[in-house]
Amino acid sequence: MYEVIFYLTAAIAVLAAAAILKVTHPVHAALYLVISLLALALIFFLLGAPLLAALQVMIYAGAIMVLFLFLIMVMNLRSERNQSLPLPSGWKGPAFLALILWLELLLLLNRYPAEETNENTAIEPKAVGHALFGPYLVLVEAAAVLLLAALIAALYLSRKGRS
Amino acid sequence: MIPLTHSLIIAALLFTLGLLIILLRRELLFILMGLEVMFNGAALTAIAAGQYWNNADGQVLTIFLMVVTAAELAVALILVWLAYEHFKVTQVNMLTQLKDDTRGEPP
Repeated sequence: MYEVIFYLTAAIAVLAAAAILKVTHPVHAALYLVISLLALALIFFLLGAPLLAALQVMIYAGAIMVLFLFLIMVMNLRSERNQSLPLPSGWKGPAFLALILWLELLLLLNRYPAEETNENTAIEPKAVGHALFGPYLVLVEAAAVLLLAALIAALYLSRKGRS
Repeated sequence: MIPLTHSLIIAALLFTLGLLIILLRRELLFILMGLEVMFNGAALTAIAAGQYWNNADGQVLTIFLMVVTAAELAVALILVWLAYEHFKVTQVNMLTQLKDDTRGEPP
C-alpha cells in the first residue's frame, strides 16, 4: 500500500512537470507547477523527511508560487484584454491531479497513522536542527548574507524614478 | 521500503523534464519554471540519498537549496518584469540587444 501511494505520487509529479511542456498560458503552467511541488512534498513525507515536506509546501507552493502569480498578474499577458471569461477550461487537469493527491493524503492520515510511513528511517526535525546549527553554522551565516544581498538587489532593481 | 534507485530515477526524470522545458519553451517565465523543476529533482536526489544512509545532511543540503532558490527567484523575477517593461516581449528569441549585428557593415 505504501509503495502504491509512493509510485502514484511520483507519477503525478512527473506528469504535472510534463504538462508544463504543452500548455500555452502561463497561469496553467503555474497551476501544474504547484501540483508538481505538492506531489514532491508528499514524496518527501513518504521518504521520511517531515520537516522538508512542510518547508516545501510553505516555501515553494506558498511563497514562490505567489511570486510567480503576482508577476503574471502584473505583466497581464492575456491576449484579448476585455473578453468575458466564462470559467476558462484549463483548470480540469490540475484539479484532477490535486484531487488524487488529496485522496492519497486522506488515506495516509486515516489508515496509516504514524508507524507505517517508513517511520523506522524517518529523520526528525530535531536531528536536522542539530546538524544545521552544529557543523553547518557557518553556512547558515552565509545563507543569511546571501538573502540580504538578494533583498538589496531586489530593492535596487525595483526602485522608483529609474533613469 | 523504496529502493534508492527508484527515487533517483524519479529525480532524473524531473531534472530531464525541467531541462526540456528550458530548451523547448523559449519564454522567460517558462524558463524560470523549468529551473524550479530542475531544482526539485536535485532536492529529491539529496533527500533520497540522505534517507538511504540515515543521515540528516541531505535535508540540510535541501534547506540551503531552498534558500538559494528563493534568493535567485526574487532577483530573476524582477529582471523578467524589467525586460517586459522595456522591450514588451517575453520570448527569449526577441531579446537580442547584446548580439552583434552580423548582417551589415561595421558601424
